[in-house]
Amino acid sequence: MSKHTLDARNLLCPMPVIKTQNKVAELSAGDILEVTCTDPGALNDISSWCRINGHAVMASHESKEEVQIILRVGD
Amino acid sequence: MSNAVFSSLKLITEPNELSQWHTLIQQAEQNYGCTLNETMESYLVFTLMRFMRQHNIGAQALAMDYLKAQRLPNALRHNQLRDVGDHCLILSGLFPQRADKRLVRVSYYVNLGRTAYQHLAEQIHQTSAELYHQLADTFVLLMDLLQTIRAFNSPALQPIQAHELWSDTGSRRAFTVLNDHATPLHESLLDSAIRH
Repeated sequence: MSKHTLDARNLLCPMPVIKTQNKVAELSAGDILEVTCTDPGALNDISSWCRINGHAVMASHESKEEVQIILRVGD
Repeated sequence: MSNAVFSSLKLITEPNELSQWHTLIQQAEQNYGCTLNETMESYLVFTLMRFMRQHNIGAQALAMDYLKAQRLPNALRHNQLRDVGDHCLILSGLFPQRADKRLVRVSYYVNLGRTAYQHLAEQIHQTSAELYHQLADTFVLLMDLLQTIRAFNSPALQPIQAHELWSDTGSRRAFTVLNDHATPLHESLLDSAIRH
């Protein structure tokens, strides 16, 4: 299991979820990915995408400027 | 829907919304005879998923939104331009008949959507700029693909709309609809048809 980060700041939806999808494709099951975005819509997009694809959203944090989502890659 | 189209459709048995849209877009690509790159395909899939959660598609005056965007601070302006572009794409592709209700041509949405994406591409940083340039450049193709999906279920365009759209934008799909509605003339009638 390894930790990775993805900087999706300044990208508009649906680009953060597309970038997340591409990044997750390079990772292995159990890996942790922390995604940082500035478009608040990304939280909903990435959470839905994770639910559909069997990845787990472990935590999310929304501040005034940024959204952070930590997910664990599923099998 | 013609028999040829019907027979080329496969039953979609994908277990979730994401893969269902993905399969539909791939079927439309196959039907239309084109292949989108992965980013454009994903953009369409996620945009469709986002819009399916909205119940007020086409309710707002998009030209006003476009104009208002010019006065917004950067981040909000980018969001608004993206929204105008996406709305125009969805309306012209999946709901072209809405143009009639608004007393505009479908190409109105094509021009506005292209302009919004183009404007966004000129204002945003390099990584995304390429995407929005591409969306502006391939707007008609993307609309055609969405109309192909629409036509799996019911006709997307009436013949007059198809003629307008074809002459305004060169849409290949509109041309196909026009062709499908053309009445073939028997050779023996051709002379008299020309005379009158």
